[in-house]
Amino acid sequence: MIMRWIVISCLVLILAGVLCIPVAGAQPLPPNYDKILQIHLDYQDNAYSVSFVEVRYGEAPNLDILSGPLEGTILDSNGNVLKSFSFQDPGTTYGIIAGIPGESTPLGYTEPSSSGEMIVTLPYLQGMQTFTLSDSRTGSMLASADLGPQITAFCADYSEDPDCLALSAASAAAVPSRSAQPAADSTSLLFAALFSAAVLVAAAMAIRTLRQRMKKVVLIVDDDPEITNIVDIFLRTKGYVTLTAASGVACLEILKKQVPHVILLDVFMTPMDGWQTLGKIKKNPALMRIPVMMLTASPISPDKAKQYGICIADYITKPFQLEHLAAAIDSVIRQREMVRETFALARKAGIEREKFCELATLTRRISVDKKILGMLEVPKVPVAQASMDTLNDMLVVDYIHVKTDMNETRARQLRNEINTALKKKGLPEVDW
Amino acid sequence: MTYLSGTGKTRWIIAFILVLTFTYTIPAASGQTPVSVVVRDASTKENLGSAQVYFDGGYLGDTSSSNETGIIIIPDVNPGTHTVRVTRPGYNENTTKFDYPAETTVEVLISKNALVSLNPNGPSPNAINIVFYPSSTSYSCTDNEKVYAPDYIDNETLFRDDVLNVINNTYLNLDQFTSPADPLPADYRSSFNFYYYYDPSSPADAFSGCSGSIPEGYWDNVTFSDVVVILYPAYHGIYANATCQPTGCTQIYGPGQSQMKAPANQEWIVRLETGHALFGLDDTFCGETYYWQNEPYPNVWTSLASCQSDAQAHNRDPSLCRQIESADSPPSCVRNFWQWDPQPDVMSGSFGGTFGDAATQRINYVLSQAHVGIQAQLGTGGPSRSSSQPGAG
Repeated sequence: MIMRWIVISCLVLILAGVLCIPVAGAQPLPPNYDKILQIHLDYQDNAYSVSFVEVRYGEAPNLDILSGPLEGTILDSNGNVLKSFSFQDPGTTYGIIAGIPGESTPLGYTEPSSSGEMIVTLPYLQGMQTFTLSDSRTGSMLASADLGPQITAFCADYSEDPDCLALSAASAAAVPSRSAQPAADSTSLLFAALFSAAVLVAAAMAIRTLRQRMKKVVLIVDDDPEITNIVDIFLRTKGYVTLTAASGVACLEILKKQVPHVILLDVFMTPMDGWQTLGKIKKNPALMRIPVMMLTASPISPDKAKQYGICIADYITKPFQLEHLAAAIDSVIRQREMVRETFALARKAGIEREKFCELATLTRRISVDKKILGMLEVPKVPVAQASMDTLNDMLVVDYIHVKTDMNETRARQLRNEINTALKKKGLPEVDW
Repeated sequence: MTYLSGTGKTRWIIAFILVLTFTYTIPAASGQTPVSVVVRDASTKENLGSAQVYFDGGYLGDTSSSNETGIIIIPDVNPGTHTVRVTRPGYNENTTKFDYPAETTVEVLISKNALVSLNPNGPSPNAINIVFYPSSTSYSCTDNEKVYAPDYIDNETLFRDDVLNVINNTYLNLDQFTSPADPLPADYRSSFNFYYYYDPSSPADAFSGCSGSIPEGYWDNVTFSDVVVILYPAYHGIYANATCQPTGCTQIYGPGQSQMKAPANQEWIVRLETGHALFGLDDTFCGETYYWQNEPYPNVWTSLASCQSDAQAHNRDPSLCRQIESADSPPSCVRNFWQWDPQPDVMSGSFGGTFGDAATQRINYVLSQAHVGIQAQLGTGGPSRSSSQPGAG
């Protein structure tokens, strides 16, 4: 009898405990796991580059009500479209200065916006892998971003989020189960061996691809196969991945398929010379930010310096020492990386993006202009005795001198402002 | 061991009880120190109930469920770095990282959200989110200078009243300003979620740049606004020429970054800027503005032929297609774009104008793209401090 009461009492207690669990966990609001993806893009003269990608909790705007010439697309890892939407060019401005109602017509007001920052806020979608931005007017792709690293980083902090759990489950499902039954006969053993070999090969290929991705790609454009071969072999021994093109046309064809980190471009080629090729590269919004180093047997002329100086990252005269060439390529790549790294710090210090970009542009400009000034060959004659061509060349040199001085003054001012802001936040200062 | 001598049935029941008891006692007996999460108001430091707590991204519970308000216990924590995310209606969410077992008490401070929902039943999921932001500046076109206008910064009620007035006279009576030839859906009003963002320490400046400037913190806190309206009290003076600053302006900086400014006392400008910022309509007056063929359902075309073709396709009279030009003769301003909507047209800056057939068609298209959620009616109840996320309140 006592035992029965004990049992009944225990059951009542347990039941009460079980009932208490949902009562204690009553939720006035359902959990909210909505997430967004924010892609920060810098744009300048229709060229876009992704500066920052972030996954965070939040709610996205309604993309379906937008329209415009730019097209954003979210793809999964198989290239399937998960979401696409269109929107207007960033900086589009409609202003109105109102007149007297009913009496006078209003005045329109608009502002040019050739550069700035655009933030694309998207809803988080399960399986999203890539974001692409394209222009429906030209059909050209403007920018793309691999979303994988940011999603992985987010899930490292929020591993129990349902979307992250789903991601882990999908990853686990993709990996063969370790608890699978062992092969019972020779066919199964053979299959297992083949499968293991395939996995090993796939892993090796993945590592190779990863390593290749980490290497910098240099496109060598020269119609002299001997020079192309020498430079190609040398740069590969230095750890670069190389592409080669024997003409300006071939260079542009390659650029349709692959975007290198640096282009080495010979000046004297036919039918399209290096300057013409450079012009086409710099007119293409998708390519204009690739640093181009000009290779030539003759010094740069003042008129070319004035016309193209702003477009080139360096100017190398032949014959050159291969080690010097590699050092010049390293320098161009390193400077871009330093700028990118410092930009992340500058954001933390609240430095305006425009100010930072202006300093980066000026620094490169000053460096190239100084090098060009050192190479320009202008006869030193009194102005009164100079021919028109010489006079023109002298004016160009003076112009570049004055411009470089002005740029240096402005760069110093910007560097001081930026470093003051960085110092206040205890961040390392800009040293380039 | 006397209980073993009972009947077989009793033995099973006891075994069952033991199993259940064992199950319940495992966590307590594991020897780990649980982690206490304390949620507090960032300014008053008071413990807050009804805050939802997520541990490593998974929902843990809310702070009203424990005996002590504002505290929730995480029983089983593995050594390492973890995150605690806290949300609460009316507050900005916050995430804190902590290291276990070094830290066994985690304080999460959350601050009040400046976003106020004007939909008494709360925001509807997927509706168009329009957020009003007060400006502390206005402009005197007589003196050609920006003037400090503290009206809204000193008086939230005045700002709220002006916002409600603008909403009622522009967005919620849109049917009176659109073409009856293509009527809006009967429930179009429920396509909108209205909010205002009120932080007197951080006002907008309607006269910094064409469409004004909004403090950066806003964009971090409110990621979902489809249009932000910077409202300023009134534009002073009568304009004489283009040296004056724009009375109204829309600028688009990317999806979710569409912003417009307008004076509260000129509803036709709110209507016109909304035409740009929300409905993607072009200006139809001739002047220095931005023209493009705003597909789909444009109100401006790049050629006469495309205007006529579109008119035919939508049962409008193609002969009404005309080039955008000024009214003087000969026209002092001509643009290579064509329009169809007759005067007085809102998008031509006409005081007292309406949206013509073409513009209305586009408005209908945009409304159809927004999914209609919960019916929302303004004026039946006060505002409520909103969660930073629509649909969560």
